Amino acid sequence: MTARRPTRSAPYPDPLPAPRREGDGTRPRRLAALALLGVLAVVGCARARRAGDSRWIAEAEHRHAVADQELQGGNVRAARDALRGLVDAPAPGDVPAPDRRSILQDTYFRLAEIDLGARNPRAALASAERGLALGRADDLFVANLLVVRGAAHEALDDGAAAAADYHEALVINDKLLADSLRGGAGAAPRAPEAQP
Amino acid sequence: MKTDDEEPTEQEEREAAALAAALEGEPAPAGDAEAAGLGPDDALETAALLRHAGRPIAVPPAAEPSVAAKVAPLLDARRARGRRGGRRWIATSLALPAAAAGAWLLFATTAGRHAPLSMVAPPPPSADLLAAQAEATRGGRTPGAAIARLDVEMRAYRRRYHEGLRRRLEGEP
Repeated sequence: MTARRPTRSAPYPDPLPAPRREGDGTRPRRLAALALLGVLAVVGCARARRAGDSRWIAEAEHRHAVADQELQGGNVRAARDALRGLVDAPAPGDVPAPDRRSILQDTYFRLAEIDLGARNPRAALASAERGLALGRADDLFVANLLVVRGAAHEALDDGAAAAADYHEALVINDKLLADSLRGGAGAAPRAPEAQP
Repeated sequence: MKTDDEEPTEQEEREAAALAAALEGEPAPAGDAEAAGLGPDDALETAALLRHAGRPIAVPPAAEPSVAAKVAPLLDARRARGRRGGRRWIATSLALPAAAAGAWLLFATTAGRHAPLSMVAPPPPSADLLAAQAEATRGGRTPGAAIARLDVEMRAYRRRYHEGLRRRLEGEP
């Protein structure tokens, strides 16, 4: 049954749609908009954190490339400054710890190698010590630091310490070679690390 | 029963004329209605039925107050149900994507990021790089030259390592 629209003079409420009242249906929409904004903000923050990770890696890439270029041009000081900028600045905490350690240890290895080339074995020894203090693992980066620290000891006439470092580096080198012959360490999980 | 292609009889034409006159609200010629066997009341009733067949039923003004008193609460209840339904739809359409986004964030920030990334080892060193490193562990008179060679080998490895790590962190394949 469909009721005919009543006349204006009819003394009963109009059954047709009432005029929109304040707050009728607008509150859920506001809440919905706020919830959507919240979700977008969280997603945006997550993306920004991810971008922060890769920016630090890109920065490391850039600084090592600058160091390569400066060393090729014979500008040892500029190369050292470029690398120091990487180890002096705080590394972002959301980069996976093993990768952060590897990148920093690799940079300390280069700094020590530059200092050795500049006939400054004490500075080389200090850089190697700082790098090794970041953590130990049977990987390429730790072996490199042991090699360069051994060379620094050797340059400082500390034969025993040099031999110990060379030996430790050679043990790791043997393991890496064995891994490589077994099919490569790239697919294997990281070896457990010893924290400093 | 007659078929469509047959001509209407005179009786049928008179009946149709009486009904048409009743529908138009005109008085039918008395001779036509009576001769057709269709009295004026019959024609008017038929016409009224035909009029109301396609139209909503109109409420007489006298009955409007009582009808409205019954219908208004029903319409209000229906409107309220509609509003509740609309709110439920809005809430559901927001809650589901929000829950999905939350679940994805949780996965991406915990399992999807740190565990797999940190478990992946750096690329395997090349044989030349390992040979240069082994050579440098010998020390001796020219450790600087062996370490410089190691540094040269490390440059290519380093570029590969950094590039792979950056891609992993950016979520590239």
